[in-house]
Amino acid sequence: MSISTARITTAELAFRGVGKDYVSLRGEAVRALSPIDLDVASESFVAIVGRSGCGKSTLLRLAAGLESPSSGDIELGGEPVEGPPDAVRYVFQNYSESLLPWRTVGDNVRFGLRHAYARESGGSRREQQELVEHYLGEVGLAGVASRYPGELSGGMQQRVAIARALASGPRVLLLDEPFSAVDALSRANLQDLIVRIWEQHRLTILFVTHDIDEALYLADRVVVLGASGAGIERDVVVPLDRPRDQVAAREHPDYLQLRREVLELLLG
Amino acid sequence: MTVTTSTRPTEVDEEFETAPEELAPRPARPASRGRRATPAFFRSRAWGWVVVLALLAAWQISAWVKYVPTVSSPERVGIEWWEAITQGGLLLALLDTLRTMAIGFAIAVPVGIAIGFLMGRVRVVWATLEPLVEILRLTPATAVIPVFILFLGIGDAMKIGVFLLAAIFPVLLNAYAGARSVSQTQRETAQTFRLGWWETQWEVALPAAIPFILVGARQALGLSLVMAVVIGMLAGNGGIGYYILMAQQALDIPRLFAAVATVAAVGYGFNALFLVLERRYTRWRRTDAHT
Repeated sequence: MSISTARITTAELAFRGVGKDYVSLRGEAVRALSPIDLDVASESFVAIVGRSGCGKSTLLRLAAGLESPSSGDIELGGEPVEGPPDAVRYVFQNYSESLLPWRTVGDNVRFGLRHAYARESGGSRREQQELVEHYLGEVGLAGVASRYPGELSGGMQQRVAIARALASGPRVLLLDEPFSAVDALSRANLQDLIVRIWEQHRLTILFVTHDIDEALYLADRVVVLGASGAGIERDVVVPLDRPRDQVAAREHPDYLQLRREVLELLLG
Repeated sequence: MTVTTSTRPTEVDEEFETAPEELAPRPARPASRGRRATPAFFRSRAWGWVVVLALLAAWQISAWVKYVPTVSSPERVGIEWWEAITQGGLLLALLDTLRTMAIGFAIAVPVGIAIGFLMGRVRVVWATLEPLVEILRLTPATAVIPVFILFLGIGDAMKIGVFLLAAIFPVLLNAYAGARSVSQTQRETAQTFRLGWWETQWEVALPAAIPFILVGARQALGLSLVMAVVIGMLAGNGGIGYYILMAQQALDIPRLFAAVATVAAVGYGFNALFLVLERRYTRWRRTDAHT
């Protein structure tokens, strides 16, 4: 599949002059993010990369309505974002705290069903059970519904968190360094999983990472943020065909060229 | 409020069991784990019980070698205990104390949970009650007994009041700490799933607080038992404390020891019961924490 097909249509998420300043504990004004303009096309996969402190997580938290911007406006599907929007679900880096540890894996996914967007959360117990199994199957975790999150490995817990988010039927998925706490081999599997889910559910994904390879492998488009909240430094389209292969894609000349550009930008 | 006094739910007496890295075959851990909790409680402490029995044996042997009346012996205490339970007033005194204690405890737990939890979750409630709670919780309940006697007499009302006062603060402070233990990620998870205020309390904050609350209830029970004895001694009109005081004044050493041992056994029993309950209702924590 090429990205030039009809996937990209209108802007799902629009940032208009959005910036964020904090006041530090010592009373100094700290610029977390200089005002930026960014349109995220509907059903596109956009990665945000940058060094620590560049404001990439702030950008995501603003989109999630967890923080409000110091300047500018954010729109979701044409509606202004004031507080967490219903169509958006957030996948935290810290999966072990985001999952409810006192609920079983199945009940965590059911939590997503019960707090679903634009869908009847009802259905009989049996129908819910089937849906829970369906979403767990989708993230490759069939048969673990009766376990507690604490009994699973980190990668599996993050899969549960993704299944829970999917169960609530969002249009937009925001992921904040979701795989950075997972070992390298599990991470490769999770990357392929998130692409598969993105394609099947026709989601719009905004994916924050500090891993350039991850960003280039996953996304249609990579937005590079400058250090210390300087704002958008580069905005590149990743011209690789899909489906991408973990090995071949990373050896593609276009990929290597882009990787070099972005790396020089971030390191230089 | 500083909650330095409240114990974190992760207590020291834990054995660790590492979480399975990948989906290994499920460890032998049947669904009816709760039923197995009681034997497990004693099995894990078997060696400690050998120590207790060894101390009793040493006491008994020393009594056989040279009997000292003021030290008595386990054998004599045992005989005296049986008589005190079956014919004497020990059982009645104990039940009398436990009755008022149960009433005080039964009021203290829900009230303590409600106040502590709301103080942890609602800023206005905290601001309203924090100084009052801090002053009252640092007032020794023993110091309050004379005041209670003055206003409530020496009947049930005074005793229930003292038990209530003794039991409420451990529950309240732990419920507060539990309500405060909700992490930023948990709070934001609730926000992004658009849970309302009640839903957030019911589905996120209260379950997060439950391990703390159970620890608080267990601490409250220990304090109640202390007060059970003190009340009897200060009010002097019945109950287990009065029974112990009378045995002491009559210099009836075996009866004194029998009564003290009874209080100790009741305390141990209640504590064990609560540990088993904690284990049962915080099963999800058992991948890294144990009774």
